[in-house]
Amino acid sequence: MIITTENLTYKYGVGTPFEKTALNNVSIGIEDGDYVGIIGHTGSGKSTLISHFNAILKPTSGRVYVDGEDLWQENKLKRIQTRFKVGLVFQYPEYQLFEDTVYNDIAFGPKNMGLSDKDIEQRVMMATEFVGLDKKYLEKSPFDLSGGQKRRVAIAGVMAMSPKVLVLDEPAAGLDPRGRDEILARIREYHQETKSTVLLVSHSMEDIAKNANSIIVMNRAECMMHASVKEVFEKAEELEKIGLDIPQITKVFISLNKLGYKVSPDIYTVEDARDEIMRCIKDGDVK
Amino acid sequence: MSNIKTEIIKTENISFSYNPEENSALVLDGIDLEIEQNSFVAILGHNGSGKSTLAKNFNGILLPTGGKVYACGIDTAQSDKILEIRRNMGMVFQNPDNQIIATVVDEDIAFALENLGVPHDEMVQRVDEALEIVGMTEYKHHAPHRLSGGQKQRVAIAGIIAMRPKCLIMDEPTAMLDPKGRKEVMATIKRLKSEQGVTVVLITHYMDEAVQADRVIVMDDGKILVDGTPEYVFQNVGLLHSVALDVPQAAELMYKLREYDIKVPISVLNEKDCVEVLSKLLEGKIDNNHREFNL
Repeated sequence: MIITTENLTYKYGVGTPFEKTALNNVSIGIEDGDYVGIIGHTGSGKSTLISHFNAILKPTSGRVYVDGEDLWQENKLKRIQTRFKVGLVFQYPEYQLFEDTVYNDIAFGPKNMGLSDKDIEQRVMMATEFVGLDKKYLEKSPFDLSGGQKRRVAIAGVMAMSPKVLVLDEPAAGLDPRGRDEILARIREYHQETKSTVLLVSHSMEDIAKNANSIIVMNRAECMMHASVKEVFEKAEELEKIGLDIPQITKVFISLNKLGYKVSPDIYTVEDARDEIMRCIKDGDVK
Repeated sequence: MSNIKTEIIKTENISFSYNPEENSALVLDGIDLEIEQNSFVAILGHNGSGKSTLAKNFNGILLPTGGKVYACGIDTAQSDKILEIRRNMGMVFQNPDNQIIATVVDEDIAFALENLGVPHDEMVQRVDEALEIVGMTEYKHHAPHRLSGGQKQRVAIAGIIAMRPKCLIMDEPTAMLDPKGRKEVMATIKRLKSEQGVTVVLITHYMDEAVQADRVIVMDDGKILVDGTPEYVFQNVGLLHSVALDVPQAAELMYKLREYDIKVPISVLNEKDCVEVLSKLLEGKIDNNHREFNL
């Protein structure tokens, strides 16, 4: 397990009339090298949860372990080192760019880690390549780039720290379909090549279905499910009840399955759907 | 005019460039368009295709470099009529946080009315009415910053509706919302059209929203690529893919099955129709050529 939480509880505004439990006794374990989708409607606790993974928030009670280390142990230096293992990319990260050149912006994280100039350069080049950004942009001001490019710079800045766990909060929000597919493909490549763990927070079940191996479903400050994509999507009706949406094609196949056709209800992508229909026709065993 | 249907927006061969003096690229290039009153039109296109620029030309936020735009029959180049145009052509943007200014919901909705000099009693009535229409009456005295994204966006819509516009132009109003918030906003849009007779122009990246419109216009490189009913537009799967747009999964599946020479209909957009078509196919009621499959 690369990240473990034990009875993690977090309350906002303790002692005020606005006290609210944002996380309630969450105990989860994230396996090293997994690609985990985190879903849940707004206010379900997703962002509060991921903010605990690199100690931005301190648990009201309970524990968070990263790579075996208790994040809130006494030794402050160790805590800092442990934090570097988890890279967090917030929503709309392009609003957080601030350096004069793209290079310096991506180099900011590695610099703070105390790396040598040579190592920093290597990290910047690696991250630039991972996000698919042309090197000619490195000396430009990040503010002269398009929205999609700015977002790549922001993601590269976190990748450059080579975290063991990369956490992304809605990395494709607000992008058009092409921009979305490109960013997600880059993240997938990064995951495969570096063998690092990736946590993807998204509202899009299609994106989760295409990318993740397992899913954490958050609902009302609790972890409602943590299982494989298949097991989670099987609970389509429960997901809809808590304001989530499963892919259109999955709904179609669940309906067909209920109507008695011998098709699998576990279809999440159009390609799988086509292959399943073709298999059925070929076998001639449909009902 | 011989046609009984009247258009609320009309563009005549408009072109637009952000820097016409420097001969910079045309963002809009020869757009001829008529949008009928009380229709619901969705505009699709990837980033940079010109869709937001087009929308801003509809109500005189931008003026065309060449050609003419008529909003409610008024030439948008007439600077003395700009207030009348803006009042009739309300606009809602992507980020609800950038559109809310007051600290209480009803005051926020009243903001535009105050600027328009609407008498107090009428203002109160219009605010209540607008809240009712977007289904936010119970939040009248709430602080906007404590609302959810979908609720905030509905408050932003109410602020526009209170001006009683004839047309609502929305630039990706659901891009920052979760599925629940998106559904709330879509339901509000449809109600505005059917109950209030408002014309809706919706710019979106979400195909499931576009299929709910009466008409879908696809923009690419400053031009109109396809224009028609959702059923018609989403048949052009290959064309839409070529400009990096999605189609609903149901339509995509039909397209992929047809690649295998299976004669499924092409205009399938929703779950229900898709289930029906696939049932027929599995029952052998749709022509297929399955000996040639090579999986």
